Amino acid sequence: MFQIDCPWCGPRDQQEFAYAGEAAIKRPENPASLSDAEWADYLFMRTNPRGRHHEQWRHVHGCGQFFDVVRDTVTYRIESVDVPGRPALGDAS
Amino acid sequence: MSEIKIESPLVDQVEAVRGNSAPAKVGVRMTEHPFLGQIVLRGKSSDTAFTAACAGVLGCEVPTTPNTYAEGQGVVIAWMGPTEWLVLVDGESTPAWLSALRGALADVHAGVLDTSGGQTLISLEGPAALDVLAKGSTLDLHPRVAPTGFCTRSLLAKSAMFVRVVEAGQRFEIVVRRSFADYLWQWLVDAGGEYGLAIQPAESTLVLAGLQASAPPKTATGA
Repeated sequence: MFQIDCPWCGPRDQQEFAYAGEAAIKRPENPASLSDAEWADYLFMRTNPRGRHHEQWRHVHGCGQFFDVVRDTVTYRIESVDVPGRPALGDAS
Repeated sequence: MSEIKIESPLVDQVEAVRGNSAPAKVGVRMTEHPFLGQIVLRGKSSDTAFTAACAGVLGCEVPTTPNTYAEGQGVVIAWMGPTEWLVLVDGESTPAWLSALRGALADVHAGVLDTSGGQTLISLEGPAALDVLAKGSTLDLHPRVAPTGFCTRSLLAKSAMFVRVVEAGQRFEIVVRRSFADYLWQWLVDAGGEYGLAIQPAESTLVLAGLQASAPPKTATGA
């Protein structure tokens, strides 16, 4: 168990939150022009890093908001918490 | 047409309705406040048309500081999320509040939802109230973190709850869903037993903390 620092409510126990998948997944601008493989890649394929992971959480038993978290999947240490829309890890910021 | 009778979700808990014989040493007093008006208000606090219309009806601004509530004349407005507020009023005046809010917000992007029948309110008061809640929740309700004027949704004994601090460390109000109310009541009776639990007969009244609506207290977590 760990605590997550909700951008609205402050630090709360993990049990108040729900994991909501990888963050910063960009919808392709022109889906019609994609091949089936590319579309499947967008829909289904996710990174599974050992280390820093950019992910979404929802404060489901609190303010109900979605937000972004950068968490280390090995140590569980949370590096940063942010409102949604932060650029993907590795993108020039 | 036959008349529809309203019933509290705790109607099967005899002590919740009639009270119990108080123990010699009372650490916590528990009362159900059924049939209050509980209105969920949705809208954008950045929309001045929305905030002005709400302030006009409610008599005070909707609180925009997370986890705080404001009080107007006979009304409590609690922050539930950045676009969501819980409005507590007396049961009898609920239709009037609803139509006033709906009228004022008719041309605004907003939502007014009556959830009165779907949840009930239980108040806990006394020096052991904090200890009873600490048994079932990871939420820190100590006065240094949760002063008078603090409110939030969280979990209590695995049930979702909304908690409002009416008097820091002393008096709390819990709003629970109808379907969880009977379970949570029994859990509270069990959890409070060791401190000396006095149950007062159900009272359909709204309790105000006497806060200044214009100056919501700062929480430890800030805005």
